[in-house]
Amino acid sequence: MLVYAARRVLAAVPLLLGVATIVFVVLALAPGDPASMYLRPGMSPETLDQIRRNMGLDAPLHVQYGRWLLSFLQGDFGQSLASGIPVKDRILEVLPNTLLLAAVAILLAFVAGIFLGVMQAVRQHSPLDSVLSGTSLFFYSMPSFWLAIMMVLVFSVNAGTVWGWPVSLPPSGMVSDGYDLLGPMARVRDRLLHLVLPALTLTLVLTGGIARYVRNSMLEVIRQDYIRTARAKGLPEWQVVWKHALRNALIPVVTLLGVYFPLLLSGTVFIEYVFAWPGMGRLMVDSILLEDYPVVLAGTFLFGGMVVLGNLLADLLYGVVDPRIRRGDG
Amino acid sequence: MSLLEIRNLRSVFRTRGEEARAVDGVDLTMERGEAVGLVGESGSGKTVLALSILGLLSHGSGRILPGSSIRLRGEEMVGMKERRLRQIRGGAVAMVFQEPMTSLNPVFTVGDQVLEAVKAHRAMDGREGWAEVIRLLREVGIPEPEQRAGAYPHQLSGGMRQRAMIAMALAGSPALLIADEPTSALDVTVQAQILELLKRLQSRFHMALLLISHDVGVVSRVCQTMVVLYAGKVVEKGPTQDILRSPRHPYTRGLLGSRLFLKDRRRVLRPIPGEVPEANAWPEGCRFHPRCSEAWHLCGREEPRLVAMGLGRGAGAREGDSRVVGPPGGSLSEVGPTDRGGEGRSRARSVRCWLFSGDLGEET
Repeated sequence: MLVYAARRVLAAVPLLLGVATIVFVVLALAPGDPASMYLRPGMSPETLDQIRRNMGLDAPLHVQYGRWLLSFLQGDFGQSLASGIPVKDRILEVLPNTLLLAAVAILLAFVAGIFLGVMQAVRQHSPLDSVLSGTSLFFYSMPSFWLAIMMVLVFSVNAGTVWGWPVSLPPSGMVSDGYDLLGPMARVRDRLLHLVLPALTLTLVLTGGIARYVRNSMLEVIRQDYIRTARAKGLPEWQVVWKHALRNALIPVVTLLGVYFPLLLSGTVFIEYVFAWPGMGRLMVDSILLEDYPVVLAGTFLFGGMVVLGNLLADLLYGVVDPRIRRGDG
Repeated sequence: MSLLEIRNLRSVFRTRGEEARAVDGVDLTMERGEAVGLVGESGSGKTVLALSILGLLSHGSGRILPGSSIRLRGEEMVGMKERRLRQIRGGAVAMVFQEPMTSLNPVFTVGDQVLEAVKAHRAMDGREGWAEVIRLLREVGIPEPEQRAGAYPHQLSGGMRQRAMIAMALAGSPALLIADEPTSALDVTVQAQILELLKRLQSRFHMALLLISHDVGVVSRVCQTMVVLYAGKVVEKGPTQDILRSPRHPYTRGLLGSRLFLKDRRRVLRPIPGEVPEANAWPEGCRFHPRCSEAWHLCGREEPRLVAMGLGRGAGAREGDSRVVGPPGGSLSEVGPTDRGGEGRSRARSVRCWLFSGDLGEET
């Protein structure tokens, strides 16, 4: 198991280096000039050149790349051009927010998706199966920003005023105005209320895909001989389904973790934007619009790194959930 | 009261949206401690019959038709509540499947899977249960059971896996063990070991054994009684030795003629032409007649009935009990032979077969 893990980790290193290179090259090729941010009316071309020199943009591309990679490896991500704050601080500031939102949503989505997928597989072709399949597909294929807007419309705007529901949920931000004046319990409540809509929206988007995947995986497993063996032993049906079948059906589902794991860092651009959630997705969009290259570089690298990490994690988890891989003899 | 009494069992199986009658009116009686061999080609309904006994058909995509009866120690199992069925499965009736490779769950250790069976049927705590697991693994001849219990199925050889399956089946101290082609997926050398094991366990625990196989040789090594199944129907049953010596039904003769003998290489192999028809397209009349070399015009229209004949065949057969019964129309009224061996065969052929059988279960 250790050898297996070490091999996987080692294989990730060149991959990350590749990610860094591609990110750098793509951004260098992208149109636009970071120095133009400092452009003011009446500024002389010499001043602009001076700014470029200060930013190191006058050096040949491979030199820029070398410098960037070197400082990058030392953990120095440079400074944000727009705010002058170190990129690292800028990212660390918003990262916990994204982490909170994504972790809650992914957790809920996996719990709900696995449960629904199993229920569908057990009752294949039943009305329940059809309804859930339709609903899954509906949320899966819906643009997330539109869903987010609808959620705001229903649970925030119309809930209190038009329909007179007792609670209408806050549509944006992480805390209310005057958060600092609240007592400790009220603060927790306020944060939770703000979390509901964005987390629920993200959960809805993710659950459908997971449920479909689990359903198909379960249908595959439930036909296996060892399921018949489990029944022939006299085990109750719930144990046959939730222990013997699900445990095997979850093996391919681990792949999904590699797919969704990067969300923990990257956040979801659209959902964060609609709900004004101060997370990574929003930071990235803002930085791209401002041509704040150091932030974009660091952020993109982080996303890429998370994809690699997510896949690494999935590989390692395969070893945990599937004993046939664990021994490393396969 | 017999241990197991199956009367007019009819089971259907759904394939591609169509219901196929895989088992069609089977009667079978088994006594305590008796070893019965169920023989037939693939597609003859052997496995569906076994799954019907365990009430596992509805979990696939089949069901038992009304009018069927399966009594275990007098208790009707058709239509039985799932809760009671679960107690019987792995308890009074246990089953060993054909493919030891795929019949064990790949993500749990062998010991855990046996432990599950132990706990499902006996009130034992963890420590007692584990000791029982080790005892069972030792019982079925797995060396170093303490270590092997912690192994995953893929770490064991095919033979070891099948032994583990048998240990799992023994966990509930079954009165009846159904073994569905337990050796077909194994190497020849291992096959003999597993058969010996089943034989030993059967006599040691005085267990009834229903051994399902396409291989007459396998059945003849273990079972006193043999039942030949073709196209969902019993075509012949009786003491194994008698059937081997004087098979009455052309199909049985065909099965015996298809065997390979190592000792006698000059012997001509006489395979049965064709294949078992699909279960949703049984032929009219006798279901074997399209493949039967001895069929005559009646066979395509009417079905011969299985009749008791020559009770206790072999030495000292009571000749007066024997008869040949023709089709309901009575076109065959000749009194048939009870001769043993080749002579019986030739006589049977002369009356174009129809069925002869000695049902020991009725007698005792």
